[in-house]
Amino acid sequence: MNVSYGLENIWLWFTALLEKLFGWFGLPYIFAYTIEKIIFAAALLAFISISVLFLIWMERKVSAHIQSRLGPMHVGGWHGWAQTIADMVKLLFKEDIIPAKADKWVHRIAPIVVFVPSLMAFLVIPFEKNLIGQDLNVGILLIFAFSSLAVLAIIMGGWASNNKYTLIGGIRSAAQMVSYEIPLVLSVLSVVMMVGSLKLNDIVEAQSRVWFVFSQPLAFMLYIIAGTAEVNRTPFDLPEAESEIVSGYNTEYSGLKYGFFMLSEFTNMLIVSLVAATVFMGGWLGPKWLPLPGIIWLLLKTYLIVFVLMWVRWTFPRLRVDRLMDFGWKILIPLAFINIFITGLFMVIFK
Amino acid sequence: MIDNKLKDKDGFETMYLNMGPQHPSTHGVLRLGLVLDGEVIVSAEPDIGYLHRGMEKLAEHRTYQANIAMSDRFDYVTSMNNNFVVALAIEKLLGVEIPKRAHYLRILMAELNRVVNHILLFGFFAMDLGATTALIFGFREREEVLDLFESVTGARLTYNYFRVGGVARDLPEDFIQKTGAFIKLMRKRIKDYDDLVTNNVIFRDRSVGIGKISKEDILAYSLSGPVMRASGIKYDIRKDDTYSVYKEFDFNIPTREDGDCFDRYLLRMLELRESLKIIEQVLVKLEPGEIMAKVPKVIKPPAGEAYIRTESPKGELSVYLVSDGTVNPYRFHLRAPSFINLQILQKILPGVKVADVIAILGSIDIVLGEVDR
Amino acid sequence: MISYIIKILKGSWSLLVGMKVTLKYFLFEKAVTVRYPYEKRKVAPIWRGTLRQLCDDKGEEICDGCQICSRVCPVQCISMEVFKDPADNKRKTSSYTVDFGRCMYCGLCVESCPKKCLVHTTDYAFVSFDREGLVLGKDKLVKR
Repeated sequence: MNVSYGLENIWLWFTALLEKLFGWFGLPYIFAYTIEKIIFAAALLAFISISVLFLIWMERKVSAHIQSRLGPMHVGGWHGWAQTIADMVKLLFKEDIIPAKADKWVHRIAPIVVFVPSLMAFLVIPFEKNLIGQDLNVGILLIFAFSSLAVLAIIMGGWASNNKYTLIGGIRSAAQMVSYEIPLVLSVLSVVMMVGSLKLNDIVEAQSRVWFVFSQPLAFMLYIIAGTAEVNRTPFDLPEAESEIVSGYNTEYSGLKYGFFMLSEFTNMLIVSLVAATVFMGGWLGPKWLPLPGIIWLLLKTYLIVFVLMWVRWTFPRLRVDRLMDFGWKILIPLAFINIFITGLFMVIFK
Repeated sequence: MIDNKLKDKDGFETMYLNMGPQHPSTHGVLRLGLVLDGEVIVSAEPDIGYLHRGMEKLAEHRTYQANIAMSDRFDYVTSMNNNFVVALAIEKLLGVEIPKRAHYLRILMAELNRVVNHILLFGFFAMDLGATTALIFGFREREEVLDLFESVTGARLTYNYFRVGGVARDLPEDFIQKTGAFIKLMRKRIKDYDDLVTNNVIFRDRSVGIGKISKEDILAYSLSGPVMRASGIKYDIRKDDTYSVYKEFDFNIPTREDGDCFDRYLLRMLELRESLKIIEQVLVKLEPGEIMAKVPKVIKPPAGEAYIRTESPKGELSVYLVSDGTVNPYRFHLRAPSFINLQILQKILPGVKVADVIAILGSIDIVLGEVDR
Repeated sequence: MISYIIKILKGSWSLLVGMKVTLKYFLFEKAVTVRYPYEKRKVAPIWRGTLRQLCDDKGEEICDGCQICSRVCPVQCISMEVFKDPADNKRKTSSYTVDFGRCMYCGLCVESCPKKCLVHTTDYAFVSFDREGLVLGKDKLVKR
């Protein structure tokens, strides 16, 4: 294990110091614990915001280079790195429009509802062995539980805007999420069967010999496909199909609220990639001969998957809504079950 | 006006959706009044006129040459073909013979413009189905042709290249070599197009079997051009009612049988290859010579009428021109293929999904500038 | 069942081929766009930009006010006032204005000019803050 090089040492040293400090003052442990978690959450939030800003910039750059363009080049100097910051500032200053006949409260709450669950999912992701919000024993289940909450906000936004395009977008999203949650969870289930634990750290450590990408390639494929559908990206971007229903559920949103929808979309993409990196590609584990902090390995793997997602997005057309259901129920779910069956068979035979 | 109270097949209420005139993919300012049962169309009515500029009337107050300049604006994607038909009609009224080189240059430009149109269709159709990259690819290759046009005409969109009795300018020196290079490039790019879009399983899934138009409907609605040939009717005015010097060139008329969106798309891709073939032949045949016939400075055709039909990339583009012997035409009528092809929407849209509406609209290939005129 | 599997495999293969194309462009193809205000593409020498009137070697206007350009213009954007100069008994223009808000850059005026003194420039970025700014008179049009 190369954990001794990790960022977690600093974190462990810091928390120990904090606890000692509180001990000197005779304060109960719970205070130190609370402050630790608050600091961790703040750091996590900073990490998420910076990642999302970077992801948007990366998306634009990747799409530009795929399409023989340059993408943002001006703002900030080097290859327009500050473009997304400028865009966010612009969104902050935009007028916040609520349609006259909208359901005002639902319309206002929806962007928050969409953003909070996507933040919550970061709670259980181990950036390094001890660099984790809370190593819950239902880890992976919690992530899926929270990421499926996003659909609620999308329906809320779509319904409350009182616009037919947003309504169609919201309903499409509901149908899509319901059908693609199943293969998503089933694909990870086969990994969970092999590990015997839902804890993400256990899953990572089980991959110290061979990554699950190689022992569970079908599950990985299914996870990536269902994950793409889960985060509403092409070829599964039906809820916001630009050429059909204008912008789907967020047609009527502007300003910061729209910004929240966009942020949550990219946050979800980050989660899907982080989970894929953790569950299938060894998470914070790196090769023993290259002692880098585990978080760097994790981010490298994550961004590899993010790149693949972007690459896919800028290559494929969009599926139609009924074919999407066909694909989910007739291809993905049977394949996921077959995969689980084969995994179980192997486990029985080779035990 | 559509009955807003239409019930769906189970007797439930339907939803009326205004698609357009401001919508990302109605190809301009077309409004489609859709009655929806969930995602399925119950009835549809296209509503046009948002881009009406009264061009047929305007033409009556302009000189003949100025009308060619105006014809750039009918279908702003295929300006050369519009120039072509108006120039032919005026020449028929005047009864002038134009020099050989002018004929070749005209065909060269018209076919290059057909290539532009079909490349754009590739891009827009793929974009309608959600493939953004294809759109940019299409525009990228279009720029190459526009550069060629720019070097000949001095403009990139409204070329105004055709004159009564010939063409405006001769080719610049390196034009032939550049066009040859473009054809080579284009043949390479078509392979990429096929890999990226045509053979893509999602693309096929979205377009095969969608929006079928039967042969009977084609004839009943008098659809023309690629839409007609995709349904299995082998009819191309360039061959069957030939004009200019098209009969000197060797090219095929591709047809497809099913008449669905995929066939209409694929037919354009096939036609694109044929157009490249024609361009190659023109480049070989070009000989130095006159580019303008002797025509009077002030064009005053004798009283009479002329009807000229040509094969524009969108379909049968015809002009009916009546002269009363003055400098302005007495009547100028345009048979716009986009306008007539658009009528079929009402017939084939009921029963398809919202996403298919966009696919069908994209595959019929309309330009609102020509529909509304 | 077998056809079902073959269909899936074939479909996946077609998707991979498509991804190969985009990866090829991502890795190897150069961008075709230019960063406009910093780099400008060269337009063709015969570019139909804004109009200018040429002068002869001595700096005198060549235009003799024959009005052919204003008559041939499809949108009537050229207007001029003509007088006979008593000094050399020649027809001259006292004013010559082009309304570029109307001009459609068709090039018919340039083509018809018998003295060849009306020309297009290669300027493609002619802008103004108001409509009056688009109407250019002799002071701007005549190139000395």
